[in-house]
Amino acid sequence: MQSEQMSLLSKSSPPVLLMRWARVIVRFARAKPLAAVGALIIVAALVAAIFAPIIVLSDPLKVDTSRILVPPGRDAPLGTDFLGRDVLSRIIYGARISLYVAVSSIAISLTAGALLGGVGAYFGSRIDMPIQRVMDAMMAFPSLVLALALMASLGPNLNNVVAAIAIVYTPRTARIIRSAVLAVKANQYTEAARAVGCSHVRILWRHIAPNCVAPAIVIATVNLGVAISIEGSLSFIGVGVPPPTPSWGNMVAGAAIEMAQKAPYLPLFPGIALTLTVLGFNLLGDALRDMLDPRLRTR
Amino acid sequence: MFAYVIRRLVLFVPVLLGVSLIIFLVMRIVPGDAAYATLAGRGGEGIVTKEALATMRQRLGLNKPYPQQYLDWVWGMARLDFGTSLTTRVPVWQEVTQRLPITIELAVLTALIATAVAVPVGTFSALHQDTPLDYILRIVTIIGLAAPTFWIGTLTIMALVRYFDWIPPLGFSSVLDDPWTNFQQIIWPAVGLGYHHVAVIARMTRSSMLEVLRQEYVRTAWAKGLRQRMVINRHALRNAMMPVVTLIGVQFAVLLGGTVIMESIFSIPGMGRALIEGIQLRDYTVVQGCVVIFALLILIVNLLVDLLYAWLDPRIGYGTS
Repeated sequence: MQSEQMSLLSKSSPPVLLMRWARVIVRFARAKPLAAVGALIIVAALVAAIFAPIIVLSDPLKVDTSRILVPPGRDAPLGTDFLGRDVLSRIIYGARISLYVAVSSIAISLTAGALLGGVGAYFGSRIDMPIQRVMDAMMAFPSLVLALALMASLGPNLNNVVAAIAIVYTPRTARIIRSAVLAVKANQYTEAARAVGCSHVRILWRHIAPNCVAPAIVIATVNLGVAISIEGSLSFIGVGVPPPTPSWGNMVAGAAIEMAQKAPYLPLFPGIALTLTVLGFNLLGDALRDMLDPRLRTR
Repeated sequence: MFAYVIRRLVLFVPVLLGVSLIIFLVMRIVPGDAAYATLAGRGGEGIVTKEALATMRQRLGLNKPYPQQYLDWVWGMARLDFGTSLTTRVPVWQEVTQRLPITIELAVLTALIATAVAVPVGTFSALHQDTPLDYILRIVTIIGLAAPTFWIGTLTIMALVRYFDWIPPLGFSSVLDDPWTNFQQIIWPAVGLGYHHVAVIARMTRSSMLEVLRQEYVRTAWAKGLRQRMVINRHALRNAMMPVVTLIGVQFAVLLGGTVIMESIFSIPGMGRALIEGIQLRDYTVVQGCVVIFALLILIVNLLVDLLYAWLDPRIGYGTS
């Protein structure tokens, strides 16, 4: 049985491999339909972000005074804004901004969190204590308030948004990685590795890190959604991604009363795009949590 | 109990020192410095002369070394002197005493509305697990978790304008002067802000309730022939509430972040609006002060949650040991 499978595997040509992958995906979709929906939304957003220049109908920055506030229809699928810019094109380009901010800020916070939390937990309280006290103080702020203060200081621009979100989410990530490392460290194989004379770096990299990947993936997925939301909030307030660059947040901003009377679709569609994307990450994150890390199930 | 509260209050001091140090450092990473930013104005259109810069630095105390600046600031806050606003010249503490009650009112009203809606919804969902209604409630809930506050707020205000001919009020009436007008002004932002929290709390109530309903003592209660209301309210709900109360406490921090957004959308003159105005005008004494007050609020809420915990679960005692 075992050998038969092995031989099948080794002989598999590209189409067969594709079939196998298709089967894996179908099985995943059957077992976790909600997560599959989430993954689909994320893939759609990624495609929109990567291929934005090919997909869009018109330049998202092009001001066209002859077609101001065209309602959604054949001309402009989702209408045009106060400057005559095509809303759909702007939403597609907005996916770029949102995903760029989310992915890079979470990658940074994950790296910093893993270093601070992991190294602190591994080397014990002399290093851990001061790090954790700083993290405590950083978590005493509402995350949006700290992000706002950082943006106030750094000034509104795209990479500062990335930096602010990365700083805000580092302590939360560090906390989770730290508890995972503490649990792994208590295992005998870590002790055994030390007994045979492995270096600290080797133990951390070969024995501890692989066993902390699951909680890291879960926290990163959930935080990706939160990061998109925070980027939107910052841009909405006007301290995030500055106009005219389209961001889902700054597209919702504007004179709410005027929009209500003239063009209620203007804030509606970017908000839907943002909500769906966050929903996608939430659904996927929940399923990953169930599959990878049952301890985190109740939050 | 009393000793416990005192001990917790004493522990506020190091955390607040850490908080103030972080915010102090954050405000010092401004490119250029606050004096330059103040003189140059929002778009950098102001003319900055060397003399003006020097006087402004002198006035803001920026010519002193950093440690000295930090100690001055902290010592001031310890005496409730948060400095004066750079733009309005009003003492920040005076501003805070006027604005803080409004933000607390909005936050508490939101928390009350959210809890009042979420707990019955979550309980209902748990009691009718996997029925169509449960699915509908769960879908509404997961959307509430994903929809950002600023979008919900904008949609709320647009719906009010479009369908109810609502006009945003010009001034803000405090709850003491004119409770009814105040209620009308604050109820919609509270409802809009509440949606997200209904979603979070209802989800937790549902899962916690499902767990409790499977316990032996609930089965015993049913077996005794108690009426449904007794079993649910007295036996199941009270025990299912423990994680929910913790969650409401944790959520309060998120909620305060949300008040910032709602206050700016609905022009409510609370702390959040002060913070955003401070940021827009680059008024860094206001920003610093507001952020520290926000952190203090969260510390107090965490303490209250712990006390509520002891009240809900008599097994937890803080008086002894």
